[in-house]
Amino acid sequence: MTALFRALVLGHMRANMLRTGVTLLAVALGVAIALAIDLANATAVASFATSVNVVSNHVNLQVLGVGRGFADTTLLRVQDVPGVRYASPTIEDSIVVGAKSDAPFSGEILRVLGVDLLRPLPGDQAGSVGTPGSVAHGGALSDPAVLIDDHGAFVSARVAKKFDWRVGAIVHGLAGDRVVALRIAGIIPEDVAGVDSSVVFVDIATAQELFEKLGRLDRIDMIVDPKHVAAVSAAVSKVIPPGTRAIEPKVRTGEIQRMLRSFQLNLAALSYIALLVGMYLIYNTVAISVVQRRPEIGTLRALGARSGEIFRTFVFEGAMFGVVGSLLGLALGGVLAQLSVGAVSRTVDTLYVASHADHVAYDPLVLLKAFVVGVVLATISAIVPALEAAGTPPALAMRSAGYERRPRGLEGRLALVGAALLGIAYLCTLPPPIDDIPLFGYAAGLAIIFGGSLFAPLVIRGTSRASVAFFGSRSPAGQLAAANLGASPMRNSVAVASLMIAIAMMVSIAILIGSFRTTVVAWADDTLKADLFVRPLGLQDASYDARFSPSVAKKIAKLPGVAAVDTFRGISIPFRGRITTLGAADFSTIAERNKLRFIGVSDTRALAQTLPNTDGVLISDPFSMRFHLGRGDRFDLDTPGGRTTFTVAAIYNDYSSDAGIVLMDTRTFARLYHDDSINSIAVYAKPKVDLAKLRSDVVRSVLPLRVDAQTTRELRTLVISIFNRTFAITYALYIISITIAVLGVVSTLFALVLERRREIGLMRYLGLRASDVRRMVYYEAAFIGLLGGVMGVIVGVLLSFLLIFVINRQAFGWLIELHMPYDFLAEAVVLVIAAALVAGVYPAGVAARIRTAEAVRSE
Amino acid sequence: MNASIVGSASMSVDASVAPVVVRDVRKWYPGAIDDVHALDGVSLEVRAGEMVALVGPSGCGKSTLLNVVGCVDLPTSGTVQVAQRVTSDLNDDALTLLRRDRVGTIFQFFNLLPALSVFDNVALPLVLQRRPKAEVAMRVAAALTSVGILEKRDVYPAQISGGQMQRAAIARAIVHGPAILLADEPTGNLDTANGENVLRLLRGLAAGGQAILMATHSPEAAAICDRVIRMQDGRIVGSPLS
Repeated sequence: MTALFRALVLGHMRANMLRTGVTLLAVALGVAIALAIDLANATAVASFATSVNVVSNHVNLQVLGVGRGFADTTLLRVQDVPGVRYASPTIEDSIVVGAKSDAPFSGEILRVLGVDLLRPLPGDQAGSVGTPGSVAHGGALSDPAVLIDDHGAFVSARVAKKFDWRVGAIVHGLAGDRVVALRIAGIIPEDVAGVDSSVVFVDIATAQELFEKLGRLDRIDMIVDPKHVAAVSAAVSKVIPPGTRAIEPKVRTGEIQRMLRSFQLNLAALSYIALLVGMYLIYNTVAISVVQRRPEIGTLRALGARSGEIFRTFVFEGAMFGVVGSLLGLALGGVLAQLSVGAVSRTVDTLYVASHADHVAYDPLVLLKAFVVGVVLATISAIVPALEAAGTPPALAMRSAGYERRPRGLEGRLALVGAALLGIAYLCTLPPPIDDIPLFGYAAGLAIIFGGSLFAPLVIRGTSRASVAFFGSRSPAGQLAAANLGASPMRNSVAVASLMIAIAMMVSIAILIGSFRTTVVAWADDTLKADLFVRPLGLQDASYDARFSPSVAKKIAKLPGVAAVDTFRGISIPFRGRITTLGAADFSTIAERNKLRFIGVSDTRALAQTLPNTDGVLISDPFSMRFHLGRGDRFDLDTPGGRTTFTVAAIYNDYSSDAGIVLMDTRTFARLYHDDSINSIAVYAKPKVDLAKLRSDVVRSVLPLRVDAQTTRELRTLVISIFNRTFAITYALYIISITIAVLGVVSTLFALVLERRREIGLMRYLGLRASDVRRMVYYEAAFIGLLGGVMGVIVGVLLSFLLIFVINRQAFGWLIELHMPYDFLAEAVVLVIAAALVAGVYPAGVAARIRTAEAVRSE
Repeated sequence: MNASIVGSASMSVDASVAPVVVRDVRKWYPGAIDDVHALDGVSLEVRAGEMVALVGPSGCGKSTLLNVVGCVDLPTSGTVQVAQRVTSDLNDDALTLLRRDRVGTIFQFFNLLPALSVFDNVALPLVLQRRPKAEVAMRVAAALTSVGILEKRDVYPAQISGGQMQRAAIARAIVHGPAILLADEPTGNLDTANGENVLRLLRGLAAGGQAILMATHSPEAAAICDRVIRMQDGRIVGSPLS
């Protein structure tokens, strides 16, 4: 085996350093991008786990409230439950620091954890930072008076450095619309493990005061007898108020994982496309190696090497590319993860739930998975060419170097299989998702990609024949290129197919994003009907922490230029094992100022008039999709006011949350959730009112509270910018895929040139000039680019239908209208031909330098 | 030297001047220790209608001589004149054009392009000269007829026998009316019957006025030639220039 490997592969690899390098780079890039996305995804989830561990990694049961939390007397009852060893009260909220009034989305959000610093849990990080002489600097300040009376806070070294905060300093931040002051009691060094750098610790009493939650708690962290968690949990459930629940931290993390799953899975699926393109490249490299080594294979077979040994040798070559490429990919992926974790966690923060992931969690399992996937895919890619090598009869192998052996009519048969795969793809679009994952949709995607690829040989043969006739005596270089294209249909197919996949991915995502954007803009135009939108100043995330007091809405409503105001309050609630959003809006104004697009409702006004004073709620389209609820269906919610049954009055179109939204009347919400706070206010101006003046009136009217008002246009711009940010990472993904595909073109052209050395030499003998040889290679590159581009656009359009009508609908519940960006599609084809021509530069140079006499003689 | 001047000077072909004139040609290749003297002072002429055999052991310089006469290589010193043009005066492009227009070559392994049909293979020299389609069709048909495989025009090299492949290669070598036809072991890869047919074909071409220079190991091939030049160690050792 090793002798065979040396004879057939190793020397060959060394002699073709360029191709070896290009292949390794492609595998490395594929593995790196898949790893980076995996790490970024894992980091986003891990940051929730640490939000529990940060208090104590021994916590194994929690009591969680919703909205404004629950009464702190609950703590006393919970502590008395047998089996509860420790119970610690917690407030979890956020403040914005460094916000500027002229920049509404400025500053940084810090997550504030209010815990009992005076009586910490065992293994409590927060407690240890407050202990004199412990990890925190300035332990002298851990005097109870400072912690409670002075609003003492412990901040991370990163945050202290960023804002230049020292121990003892008084700092200001925004808690919702109010300015609050904290005194830096200590700085947590960077080496304290498990503490997210955006977490600020304060004492529970301080937190209750800061966030106007006097007498209330957001959660209770408990350490209970690990052998009887379920029993203790059941006992705790009996003593806690309605609307709260006892839950194990890992179940809670699971809920968050489920919420993020569609988003993360789609991102991961995209990242694996890059790996798929890399697979084609490995296939190509091993296939070239087989064709070039055919005489040696023949000799070795004649000398007694068995076909199984030959097979293993070439599979081993693929595996080696996998091992070395994946190792490089792990290193590269680690670096890429640093970049992508920011992008992914920003999207998660904005759209789902505050994660504050600020460093990559290098989970060894994720690293191992990327490595194994890389090696396995590389090994699989080598199987087909290895089978070909093993099946070559020795006599034939010794005789002919360089040319493809293939059964007649193979192209047609492959195309038939391709057509069958496309048929299967269609069938896969019919079944519903499995556990909310569009598994059949993903299968359809793979079937489209492989099915499309299988058409490549037939398309190449047809193009070759037509072009040979077309170029005729017009251009010898063109005619030869066309003939060459058809002479190695399989080889060229791989290059065309890998380009096709990369282009298809780019095209399908461009169509998806373009259609989605158009749909969202139209939706924003329809639903953003107010003139000004008022919200607390500073950056915000999906946590609904930034709240107004109800007095703000009343003050604004009284301003002279204001015709009316609408308020909105949102909270995260658990529902059927997932996290979703409950929103509260004034149903009595829906009739006169309907901002919602109802689905399947003909008389909106009649609906709106019947809504107030009923148990009717509105649900968003994604919510309806996700929980299979339609008009008239009833469901229960556990509220602080007790378990309540609601009826779905209507479903409305929404693109703000794929977790889904239940919208209820403000009054119902206030009654059931004991919460009258507000997250945002929509202001309707009287006719002919100067909006700029109204805006400053609004901001000034509520001082010293700090709010920001935006015009409809600004908010729309914000919606689009959030949208663009969400998809920013997909652009990066497809650029990497195209890079890998272009590397594939370089590798293919270079191999074809080397393989046809003798032929090119002969053509030079017959009178083809060096410049014609160069031109011939460019023509071949252009052929590959053109076919890859055109097929890529076709397959990409098919994929975009799948993404828009099946995968996104099933995974997110989005209803997207299709919009074809025709000019972009044309650009994509031009771009890929240009990229292929660039890829042809080096191989063309090599071809033009082939020495005529030597090439012809070497038989 | 300006290639176009040389080119224009040679446009009128003087029938009395031999298509190939080689004068005191040396060809050295740089070696690991010493230079390899592949040709060491070779002189010869091949006249129109003359069929000349080059014989000698492997490595004696036959192929190198065919290469320099075939304009794919240049001599280190001395002159090679093909169709009255001195090859060492030409740049790569001019040399390529001379090869394209005035040289025909037959190889031991046929060197047909597998991706092209027999017709397209034979048409190549004319296509490279950008001849009109009708002329190409006519001349290819004539060449295929003269080698007796017109009926194979639309098939691919892989679908015909070795003898037929060599006939196609000969058709390709003569289709553009070269001044000199070079043949490198043309029967080396053929059975006896096919070898004889090919030799008979070549003999017929020479009778029609074609100058042929053939490197061969075969005594039968050498026997039908007008002249046999024996080479050893890069030198002509027998039947020198008469």
